[in-house]
Amino acid sequence: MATTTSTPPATLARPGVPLIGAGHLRRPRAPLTQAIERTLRNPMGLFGAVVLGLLVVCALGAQLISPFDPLEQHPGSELLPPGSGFFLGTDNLGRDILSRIIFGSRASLLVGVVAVGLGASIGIATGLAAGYFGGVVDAVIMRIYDALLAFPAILLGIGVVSVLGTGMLSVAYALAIASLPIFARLMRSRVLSERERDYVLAARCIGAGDGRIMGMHVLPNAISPLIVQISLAMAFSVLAESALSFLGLGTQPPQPSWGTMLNESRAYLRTAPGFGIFPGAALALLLLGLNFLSDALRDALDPRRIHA
Amino acid sequence: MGRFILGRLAQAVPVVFLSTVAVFLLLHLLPGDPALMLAGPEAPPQAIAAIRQEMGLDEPLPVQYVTWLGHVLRGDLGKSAASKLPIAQLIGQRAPATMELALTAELLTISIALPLGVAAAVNQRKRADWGISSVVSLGLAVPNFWLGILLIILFAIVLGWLPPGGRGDFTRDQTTALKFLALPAFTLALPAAMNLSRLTKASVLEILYEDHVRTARAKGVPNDGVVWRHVVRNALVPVVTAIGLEFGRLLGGVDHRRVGVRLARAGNADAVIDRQPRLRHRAGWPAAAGWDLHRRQHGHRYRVRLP
Repeated sequence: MATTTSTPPATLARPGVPLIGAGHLRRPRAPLTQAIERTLRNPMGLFGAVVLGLLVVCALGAQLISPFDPLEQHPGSELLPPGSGFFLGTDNLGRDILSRIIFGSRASLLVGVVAVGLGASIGIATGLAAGYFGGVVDAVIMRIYDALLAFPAILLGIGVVSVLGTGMLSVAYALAIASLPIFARLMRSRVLSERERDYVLAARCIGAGDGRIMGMHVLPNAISPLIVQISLAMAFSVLAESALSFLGLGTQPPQPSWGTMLNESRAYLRTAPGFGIFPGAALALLLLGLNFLSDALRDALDPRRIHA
Repeated sequence: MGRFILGRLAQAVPVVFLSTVAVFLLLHLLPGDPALMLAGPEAPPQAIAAIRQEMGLDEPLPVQYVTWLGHVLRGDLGKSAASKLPIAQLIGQRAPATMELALTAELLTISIALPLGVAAAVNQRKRADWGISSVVSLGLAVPNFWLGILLIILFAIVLGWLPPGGRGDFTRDQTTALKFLALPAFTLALPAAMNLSRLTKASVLEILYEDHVRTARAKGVPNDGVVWRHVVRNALVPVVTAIGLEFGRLLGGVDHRRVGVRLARAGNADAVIDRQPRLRHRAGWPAAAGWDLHRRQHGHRYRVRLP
């Protein structure tokens, strides 16, 4: 009798894993893990992840990495071009530009993490509640967010900064407030479609309470587009922090921030163009990486993909 | 068609009024006391109170709004608390420069975005599309205030082709005036053009696979004709709306400061940033009006579907 050979399905045939009899019973990887794998396999996603990792390393390890103290002025060495002891040159007060760029990443990371962390957690929680419970809860929450959405983001930022004072945290709070309606709406629309599914019905039938259903069943299934939104919000927060610092409303000098460095460089473009180019290049690189990461995440989490 | 446009314009009126209410409220929610600014920080509280009474700031908010609206409708926009000049004059000084910049930037945006978007859609998945998408991503990632700095370094300092700031006079020397406008207009236009090209590409892609396009191709219409006469015209509907919204945003002038190129007397944004409260909300209102009228004028295109 001829034996039919069939190739095992792709997900189960991994190099180094012997396919013994029970191989087909191996649990496939969780969808989220697969999505992360797909993101990293995408060259854009890999680039974005590397850039984000670089940001985190720079921000957390700034003390160890940077050659000079970012606030230390070197009199007599103002506006030097790259070289001669200062890798990227010095600014108008003789401070090393590379060190200020490395420490400036802290402002971007802090604002990004706080703004997105606050905005996403509150927005997702309220969106979940609004979508799941519906009725009065939904109406009240969504009307509040509608009013918030009516304000243009920049104006809202300027308003919050006027009330709370300037500084990194004010910027972060302003951005968090501006991003609340977006996260909430997105979550609510996903929850509205998920709560009609059979598994929710089944969970309710076996006696699961609302909290359990929301947290353990609906939330993990609804979260995919919000992950993309989180990375987009991170990119927007970094840009907004720099823009507000550029206008003098964010991080205050002498604290290093890429936006304030760009603002200070405007008076010295003729004598020291590097002063204006390098912080902006760092900012553009980070934004490019984050945008690529969001695109790759969006492709990886696309529900129309046929999961292998 | 004419009646439709008139009807839409009429609808714009209440929206403009609502936006005056919004601007008025926003202004009064922000800290910054005009009476204090006028009196000066050293003034005694009685002087501040007297000024407040004279300016009508101790009246209830709805009364203040109605008084202010009455003045505005009569053309009296009041005086700036900081510079003591009539606000209408301040806006009038800035308006022509803002208009020039906004128009030039808008034209640049359209001329960059439309060909790029159509080319990307028509050549989807081929090398041209990949190239255009990379350029668009890069254009979106570059923050526009840095772009202004880069352009100044390249074109004004290194190459010396264009002036870094200032404003020319269109009535006298058009070429010089255009040179002054070139850098700020391009800095404003580029990010807008990148977004618009993405929208154009998505819109064209939707139309490209529709039945009437397939029929045109089957009838033997050459590809250029199909693309331009049948596809692009229909795909322009959301694009035109976006263009209108963008023009309103440009008129609002908030981005002009971020360009990093200072046009003399340009931009109502100076008022926003310099915390002149009255000037701020006078300037914001025409922007809202301009945006709304433009959007409504272009909204009528939704009714026209060419075969």
